[in-house]
Amino acid sequence: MVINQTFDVVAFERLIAKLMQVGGRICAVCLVSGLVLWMIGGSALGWRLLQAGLITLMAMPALRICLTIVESFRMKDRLFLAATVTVALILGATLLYAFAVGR
Amino acid sequence: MGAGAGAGCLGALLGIGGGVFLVPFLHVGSGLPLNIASGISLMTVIATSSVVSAESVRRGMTNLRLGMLLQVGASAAALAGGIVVTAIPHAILYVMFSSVTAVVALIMLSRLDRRNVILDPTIDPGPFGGRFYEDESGREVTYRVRRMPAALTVSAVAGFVSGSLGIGGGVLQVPALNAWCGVPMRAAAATSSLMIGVTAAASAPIYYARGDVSPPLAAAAVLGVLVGSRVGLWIGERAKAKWLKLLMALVLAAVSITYLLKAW
Repeated sequence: MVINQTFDVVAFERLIAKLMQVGGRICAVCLVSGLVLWMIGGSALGWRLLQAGLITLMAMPALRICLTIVESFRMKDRLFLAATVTVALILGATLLYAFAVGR
Repeated sequence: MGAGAGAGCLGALLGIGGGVFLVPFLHVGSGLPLNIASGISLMTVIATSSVVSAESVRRGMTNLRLGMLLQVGASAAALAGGIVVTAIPHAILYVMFSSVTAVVALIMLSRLDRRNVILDPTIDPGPFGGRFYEDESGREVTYRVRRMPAALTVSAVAGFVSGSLGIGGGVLQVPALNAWCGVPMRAAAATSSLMIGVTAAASAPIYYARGDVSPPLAAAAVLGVLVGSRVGLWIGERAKAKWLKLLMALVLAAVSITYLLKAW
């Protein structure tokens, strides 16, 4: 295992954690407002906000993996990079299958 | 929402996601079809994972390198589980799951006082081990990962269970990493909390596309989990590892009996 010592992993992880927090907040805002609007009158906007919240939620682990690819690349850790890229490809396959099912 | 909060709290406390509590509650307790309960549960597992893993990574307890390696099998199996679940008789899945959780509960109970940490932080943790600051001993501790094939196999099984039953695979992963592979409980729970979200994301879009995720119900459960998992994290920082193990064993036993009864 060769690790690039010049890359600040801790700072990058902190940045990822911050992004995840922001994603979590966007998701929570969409879900709360969507749920309230839907409960008041079953509006189309409420339904769309609920969907947007759930899609944001499902996208967050994928975003996490994409950022981890950058992290493993900058760490020059080949095994870590290969594993992370494979996971990203599997998530891509899930998305393709879901699109095919949804059609 | 209340069920989501309770499930999120216990899930965050144990690093296993709340799905293992939420699926039986929604399916058996509320009478929702299993596919709907599973779809909602997967959403809450992602929510728990997002909240808990951000905090655990910040505290340096997550073994990201080990997690990503195990994630390959877990994600692939979750995708397979999400695809083939409609063709598997549920009774077979229940019996399988009941047996596995019962065995893992027994392993946890037999190892309540066993610790996996090496108190000398200068010792090499090996290619997959790690170091973290342990509150209980008040210093940085080291651990090595043993039996990687076992860890990889359990992760794949956990992924399949996650994709097919909608529960976070952490219920299998945490005890296996802790008892068989030498990963301390807190590091196992932290690593698993990150993995369960990615594993759930490998099958959740399929449930969503099939129409198995009811947006209002999922939203209520997710909001409950977002609150509950913060409470779980707070308690988790203050509870002793021995009690976390005992709690997990009791939860596993309850889950095992529930699924066995459902299979009947």
